[in-house]
Amino acid sequence: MYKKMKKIGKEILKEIALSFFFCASIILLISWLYSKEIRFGISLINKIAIVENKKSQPITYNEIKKRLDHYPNYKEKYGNLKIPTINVELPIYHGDSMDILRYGVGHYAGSYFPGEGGTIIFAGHNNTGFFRELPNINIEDKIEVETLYGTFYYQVTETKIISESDLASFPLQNESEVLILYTCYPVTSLGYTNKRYIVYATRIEDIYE
Amino acid sequence: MKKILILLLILSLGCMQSINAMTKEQFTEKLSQTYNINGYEFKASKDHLVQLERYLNQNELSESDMDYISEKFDEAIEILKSEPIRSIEEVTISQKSKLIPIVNDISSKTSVKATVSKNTIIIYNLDGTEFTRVTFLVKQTGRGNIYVMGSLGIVFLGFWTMIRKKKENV
Repeated sequence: MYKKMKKIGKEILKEIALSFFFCASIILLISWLYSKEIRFGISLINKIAIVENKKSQPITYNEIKKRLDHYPNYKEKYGNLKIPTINVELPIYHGDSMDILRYGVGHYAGSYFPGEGGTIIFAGHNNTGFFRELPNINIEDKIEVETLYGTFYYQVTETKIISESDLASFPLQNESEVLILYTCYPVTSLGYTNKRYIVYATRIEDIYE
Repeated sequence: MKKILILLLILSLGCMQSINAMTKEQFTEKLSQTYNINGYEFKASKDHLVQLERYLNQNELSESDMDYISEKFDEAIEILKSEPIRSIEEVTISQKSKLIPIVNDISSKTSVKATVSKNTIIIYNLDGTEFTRVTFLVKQTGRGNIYVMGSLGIVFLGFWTMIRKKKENV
């Protein structure tokens, strides 16, 4: 009796395993074929959660002081990042917490804003497609940062791979405007990595110069 | 605890804003100086000073708030001096247990609001919107996609089961 029950149990488990196998295969196939559509749908559903800005003041830029008079709130979308040579066009959010990075480029709050003449640091996920193409960027490629208070242009000057603990590669200064983009490396990694791919770009007056 | 000290620096910077004898620039200069605590140098990092300046540029504080926060900041410095730490990263659990109530006290008695949790400090503008979260500079931007990994695990389990079934049939 016990042997019979054991055999039946084994058969049931096998059938369950086979069912899971086929279901998982179908899920993987759908997520691979329609990954962009799924991400877009999720971002639409969560849009209200990411932008909590019911009382914010208008974001304004003071040309004389080279500072913003009013800043975006944390988690607020305030611009778009465009890199034509690698087909990147992404929203920019103030802040770079993990929930922000799910929806676009995160602006490190301890760095300056575009137009303020200092170091600007943007982070983006690698394997979900946001900054996946970053290693394909070339020196002298143009970057456009379109914000609610103006559009700013940058030209790539350097790229490199660093250790995550190498904070000296993120020099915070306010003598010249430098845009730093970074993502986890290798860009195909699925989980934790201890390396970062960094792109440095200096500000230029016009993207067409 | 670096985060708590920076929070207190932000609160103190706001506090000093409307003191006529000291300009905002002078107070920023003061806060960017190095503090000597127990023979070691303590200094706010550049990224936190950037946020200090930004906070002050868009938030006006009352004189009473500023006086109160300034007093609490001095208390915080004394707490740091109370144990032989060499850097802000070495702040002890005992010191932490004394610093957090200072932050909560300022939040409850002044217009400057902040919340402190295990890994994050959230600072709010005077209008109630979120100003910033004090976090580490370099983020982990690789997504640990447990759903993909879980699915792959199930797929391999399925392959294993199929192979075993074939062997049994043979």
